[in-house]
Amino acid sequence: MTQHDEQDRRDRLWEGLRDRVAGERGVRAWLRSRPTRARIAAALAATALVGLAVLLLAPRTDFDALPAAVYGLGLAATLGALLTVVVAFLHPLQRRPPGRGRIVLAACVALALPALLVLGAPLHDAVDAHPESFDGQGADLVPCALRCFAFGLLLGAVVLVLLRLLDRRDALSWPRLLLLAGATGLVGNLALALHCPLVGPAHLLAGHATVPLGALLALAPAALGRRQGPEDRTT
Amino acid sequence: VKNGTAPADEALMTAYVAGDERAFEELFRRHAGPILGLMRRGWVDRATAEDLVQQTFLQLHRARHDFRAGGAFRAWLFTIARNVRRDHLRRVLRREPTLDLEGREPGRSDEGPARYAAREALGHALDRLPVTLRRVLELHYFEHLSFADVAASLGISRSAAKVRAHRAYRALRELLEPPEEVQEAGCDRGPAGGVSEGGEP
Repeated sequence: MTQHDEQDRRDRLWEGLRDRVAGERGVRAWLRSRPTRARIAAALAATALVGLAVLLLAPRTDFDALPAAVYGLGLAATLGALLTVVVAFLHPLQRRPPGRGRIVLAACVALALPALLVLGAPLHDAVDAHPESFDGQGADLVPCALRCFAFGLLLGAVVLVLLRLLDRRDALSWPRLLLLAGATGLVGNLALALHCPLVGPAHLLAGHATVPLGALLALAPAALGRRQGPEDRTT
Repeated sequence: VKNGTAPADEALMTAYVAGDERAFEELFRRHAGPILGLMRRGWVDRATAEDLVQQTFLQLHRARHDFRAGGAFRAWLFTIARNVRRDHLRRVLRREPTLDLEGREPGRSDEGPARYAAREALGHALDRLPVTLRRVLELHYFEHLSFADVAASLGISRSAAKVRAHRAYRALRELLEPPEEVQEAGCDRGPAGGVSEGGEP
């Protein structure tokens, strides 16, 4: 290849890049080009807004009866896990990435945390008697669980969409898909913790702890489609 | 100011963040070649390597507001490039289980057998190095980063980077050459050759 040919190729490469950069327009382009700290703050602010909206519009009715330590521990663990997965998901490419094993571990903890909290810090053992606390059992188990599942998934999806808008990568690898599903489930469970007064373990496992798994099932086709697609774009 | 008149990369990047698109083009002109070289390592074909170069600069564009004035631009850009390349190789590996970790198909190469064998030997030797030494070699020898940039990229001091590079080149030389040839050859440059005094690869 002559020097002239090489220069031609370099020029074409630049023109292609210029076209790709010119295509970076709109809300998504603006959001994903914000500094990483601002992107993380935006995701956390959206979570706070979801929580605030639930508290204002549909708060749980048994706050007075809740044991502060157990309830607070659950919220703190959820928020801590959420911060971890959001930071990992929005990790910028100009920094050395965390190990793949650590990403998968963080995502799995996030996905399993709602169930772990039901089993490890059971509200039903500590809660004072409240008229609504143990509804949603027996014949009501499935309808109540489905309502909570849909509620949590819907509110979690708000942050899911925002996280994808803030994401600088076009493709979604499996470990990052797990992180996204984990974040969605945690936001959904946070909203449910502020909304749902039921503390029966069967309800919590069937209606709350399944939210991250629902998010995972909803996102899986995207990753499968990408795997079978003709070409992946950008990392 | 670099070389008397040309603005330094960092100044160009700062200008680009402020909206000067010609600065972006100048950064591309300066660094597309070395990044293309990085992308082509390990039998990645030219068209794919060029696409990865574009992806690298597209990611630079998206991350431009993360660039801190005073930061080392070259190390910053090459970290993006390495991550883009690694993600690509992972995808290739997942789709094509017969490819090795560098994305190449064993036995299919447009290079001569001697060069192929040399590359194979180098690859195996690199794999046997401790990861801390291998990373320094990758950055200094293959990606042509200065010791200052290697140090910035790894979060270590410049002198620590030089010490690691010295150990890495020595270890690689020992892995690549039989003991008697080491004594006779006394080679002074190349992947197994050592470190220049100026700190530039």
